Amino acid sequence: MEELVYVRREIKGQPSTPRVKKRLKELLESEPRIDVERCVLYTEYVRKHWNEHPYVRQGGALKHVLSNMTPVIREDELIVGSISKYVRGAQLYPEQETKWMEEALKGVEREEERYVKGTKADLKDKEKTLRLGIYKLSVDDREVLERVVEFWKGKDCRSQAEKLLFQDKDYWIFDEWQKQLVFLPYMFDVPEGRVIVDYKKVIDEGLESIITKCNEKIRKLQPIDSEKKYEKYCFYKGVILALEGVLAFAENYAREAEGKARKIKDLKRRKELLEIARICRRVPRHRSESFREAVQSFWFIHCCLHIELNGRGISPGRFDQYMYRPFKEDLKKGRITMDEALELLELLRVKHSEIVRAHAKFTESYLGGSTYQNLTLGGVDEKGNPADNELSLLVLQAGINVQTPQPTLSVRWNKELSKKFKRKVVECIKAGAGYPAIFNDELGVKRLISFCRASLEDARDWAPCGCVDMQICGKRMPMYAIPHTNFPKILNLVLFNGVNPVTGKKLIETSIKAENADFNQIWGEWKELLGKILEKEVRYWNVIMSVHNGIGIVHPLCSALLSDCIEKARGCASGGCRYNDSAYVIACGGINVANSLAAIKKCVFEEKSFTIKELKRALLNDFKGYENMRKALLEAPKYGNDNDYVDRLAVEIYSVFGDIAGKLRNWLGEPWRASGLSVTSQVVLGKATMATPDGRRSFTPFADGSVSAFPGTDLNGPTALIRSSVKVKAEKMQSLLMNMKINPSAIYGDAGTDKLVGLIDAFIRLGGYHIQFNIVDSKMLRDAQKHPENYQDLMVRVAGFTARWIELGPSEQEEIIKRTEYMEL
Amino acid sequence: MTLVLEKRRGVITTIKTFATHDGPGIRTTVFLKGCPLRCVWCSSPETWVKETDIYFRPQKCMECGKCVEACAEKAMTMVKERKIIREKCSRCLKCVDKCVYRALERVGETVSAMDVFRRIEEDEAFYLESGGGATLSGGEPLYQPDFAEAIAALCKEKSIHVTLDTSGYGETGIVKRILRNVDLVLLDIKHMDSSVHRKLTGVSNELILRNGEVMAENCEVIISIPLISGLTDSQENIEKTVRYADSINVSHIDLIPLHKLGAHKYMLLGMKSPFEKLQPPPEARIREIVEFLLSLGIKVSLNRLF
Repeated sequence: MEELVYVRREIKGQPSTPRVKKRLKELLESEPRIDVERCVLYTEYVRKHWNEHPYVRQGGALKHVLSNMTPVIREDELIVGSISKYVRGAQLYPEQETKWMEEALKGVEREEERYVKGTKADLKDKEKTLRLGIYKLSVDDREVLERVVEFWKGKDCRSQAEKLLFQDKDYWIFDEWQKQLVFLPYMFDVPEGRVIVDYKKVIDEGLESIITKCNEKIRKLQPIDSEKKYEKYCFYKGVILALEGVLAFAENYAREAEGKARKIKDLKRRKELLEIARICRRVPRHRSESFREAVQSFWFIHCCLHIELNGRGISPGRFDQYMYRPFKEDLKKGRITMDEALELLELLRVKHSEIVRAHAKFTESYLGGSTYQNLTLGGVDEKGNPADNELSLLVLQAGINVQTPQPTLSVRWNKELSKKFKRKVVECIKAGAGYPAIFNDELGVKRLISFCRASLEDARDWAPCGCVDMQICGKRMPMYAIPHTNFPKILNLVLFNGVNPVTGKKLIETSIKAENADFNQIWGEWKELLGKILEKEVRYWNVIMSVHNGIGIVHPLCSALLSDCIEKARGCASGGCRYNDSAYVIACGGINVANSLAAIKKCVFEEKSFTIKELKRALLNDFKGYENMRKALLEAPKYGNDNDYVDRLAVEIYSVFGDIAGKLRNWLGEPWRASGLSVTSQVVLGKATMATPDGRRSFTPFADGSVSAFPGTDLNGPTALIRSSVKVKAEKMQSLLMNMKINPSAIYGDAGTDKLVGLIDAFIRLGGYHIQFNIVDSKMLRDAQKHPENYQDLMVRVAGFTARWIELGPSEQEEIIKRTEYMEL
Repeated sequence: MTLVLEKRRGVITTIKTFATHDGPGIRTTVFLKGCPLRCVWCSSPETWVKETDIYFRPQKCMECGKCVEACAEKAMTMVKERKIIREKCSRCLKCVDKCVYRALERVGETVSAMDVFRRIEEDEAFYLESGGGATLSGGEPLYQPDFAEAIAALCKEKSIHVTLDTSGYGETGIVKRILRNVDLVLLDIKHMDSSVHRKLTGVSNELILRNGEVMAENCEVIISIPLISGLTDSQENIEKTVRYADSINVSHIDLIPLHKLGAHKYMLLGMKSPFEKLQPPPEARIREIVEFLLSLGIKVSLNRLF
């Protein structure tokens, strides 16, 4: 028997104060659940104000929601404001999609749900708890929700968009593609998110200045004697209402704090509560004059955005930049100690992790429960100088001390960052929570200039958003994504002449017969089909977005904080932003296709060991009885070993993908973008896909990320994998994602820290875009599978997010264990 | 007398990239096959002989019998027990070719110095950023001196840092020749008492200690002491080693407490693992040794991670 001795992680942090410890414990012990407060208030408002202009209606509705939500100040909290009265409560957005709610209430299973087994969304529930998506719903709330759903049925965005889509005679076959997972079905339930607003403006100026500005704009519009002017007027009115909502939200917290202060006997806490009340009356209305005020101001905005938008990926962005002014001022004047600041940052981690989202069960199966709040450190300032500072170090320390899934941390890495900062980054990575992820700073700036045509100054203010996508802070449209396209399944469609071998249904016409084709024809046909499929994906999504914007699902708060929506008087998804090319399609399994094509080329066409016909038979039988063939396929060159034979194919796959997307136009006439993030789609899409010619078995996961190797096929160590991966040019893509798993023993101690710094420096020098690490002994993960009770606080990197080990499904856990681990000794 | 550098050939087991325990920075370590010593705690039995070997993984074997059919020497058996009768095996490797389940694997390949150098050179960016380079290890690199020399010389030509990881057991003339292209030597001093050394490794230590002097005269040397409870960790042995180090002006000592990560390799080669009887010194003893060395002003590292 294998000995279960594993290498422990070297760096371990703990909450720096009892207060943080208490808050963290409360968080870890709470179960996520459904909250209906937001959807009830929202619906109540819309019912009464159905005849208002959408901008005004949305602003008014948000104000109504924010003014009437229950304020909750938890025991010992210093930073206040919650999206729900529950510790981890998810709000609902029936105006976007009621279908998934209806299904959940009636217990209807979607066709594609048969592929979710073994994921987070696969619930083994003996008590048959009432759930919506994957979270609990109380019986009382069920009744309330049923009435809300009844109201929105047929009026929500999905139903209205589908009325249009169903008129298209080609849509039914497209719908089959969705159900058979040629790509993951449209996320009607998570359309928006993935945005970084201008937090700096809030902290440096306050919301009142924006309200004043809007009032001025309205004055200048007088007389409002054209429809165009009226629309502008309504936009400003909506923004003002939304911002007033945020101020009302803050005022409610001030009152709640005062109320609590009156009742409490503990003098120290009473003082704290009165201070909370004072701060909530000052910010976010005014400019933040202290670090504490800035933290509270930031949090109110971040929190209210999470009430306004239904997305995941609403990201803090460059926190160590916009928070630095008040931090530095406080330090200089001796108004705050490092310990006090650290406590606030740790508390803030808990607050971020309180936020949960509820979506359809199937969506959960690949989103992995994360909210993708991405906080970025480092990079350069507007003049191009390295931007790391004392606050960056403190944020990393908070990340070591309080290992929560949110916010995830990212670093814009460049050569000039200080050694001290780089070492701290690696120390944090070594603590094992999987963050920070590392991004190539220079490459991000360059790409945003060349592809988005951003100004140098704007490009220098970029940050990864959601998982790994490049976003410009405060100036670019929220990212709208069509979830992952199943690249290996498309290869199977080529080989099986348009038929999905899993279901036996014909899904698409092919122009070749695979049995008689040569290699280039097969390869060419794959690109052809990819193009056809992507074209349909974006065509219909453009329809959906037109309906989405047209029926008035607009976001005045978010728009108020994105340049240049106020100048243009347009919403952030309707072309109001300075940059609007942020809608994207996503790849999944690209590496399996590269490996498969290399294996076909080598075995079938060069060595002529067997024919395509024989290969197909082997695939259909999952290689049972075809072990010799599988051996030959496995021995063909594999991506991740710096072998051009196969790497070149990977490069071309992503290049073609980027080019196809770039030629398609989004609903605003801007190019679509291609993205290479994975979330956990490799598990779900793998479950829906027959064996592939790279030797991968049927219904098993694909390679994760977009440039990670398929587990067990990168035989030449991490440096060779890096050399393979940097051949794929990130410039054409909005993102690439690479996971690397390293045993803690390989980088032990200070010397080990410097070695990992060296590895990252080399990765960036070679032109890699993104890399992230799991510093963990797989044997420990095996132990954690057997004894989850001992691993309540274990965190791992999944894709562009970190998750609690115990909250992952068994398939996802297995997939992480199987990733190649780089050992030492 | 010897071939041009690039064409010299030798036998290696593996080339490990991102090696972090074999010298400064990120390194590529080449494991040369063949060793004149037989240390009782050896963690790489696959490097003892220079000839090719076969690993057998019973848990992957599906008993298809293809290897038995392929073996002319009748060295493969599945009667009673699945195993290779190693005495009969001629290392023709036909069985390995036939195994579709990858239960059989070849260990050791003959390659040219140029082949090895190319692999080393690929990671230059990583050496540059981390202050790393190449490490020649084994087995015993001095056991294939011409080959080792050639790899080192090719690296030197491209200014790649070279570390020699050695037991010090080899002809002094050879040592001198190789040192010309080496920047750092990691010298294992397994025991200071010659008769004990013979008992533990199969050879006496006089030659090793003499070579140590030569090495220290010609380049930077770090002495490694393997720590095995009751065998090498006595205060007397440590003190003697320190004195020796001091006499040749070496001021950095590395400690390698016994690890058993090589245990499975004994099984794969059909050998009995020696580790049941061996233990690393207790944590407290290791700490004591570290403190002792530090008190003498010696630079100390553990597991060659520095």
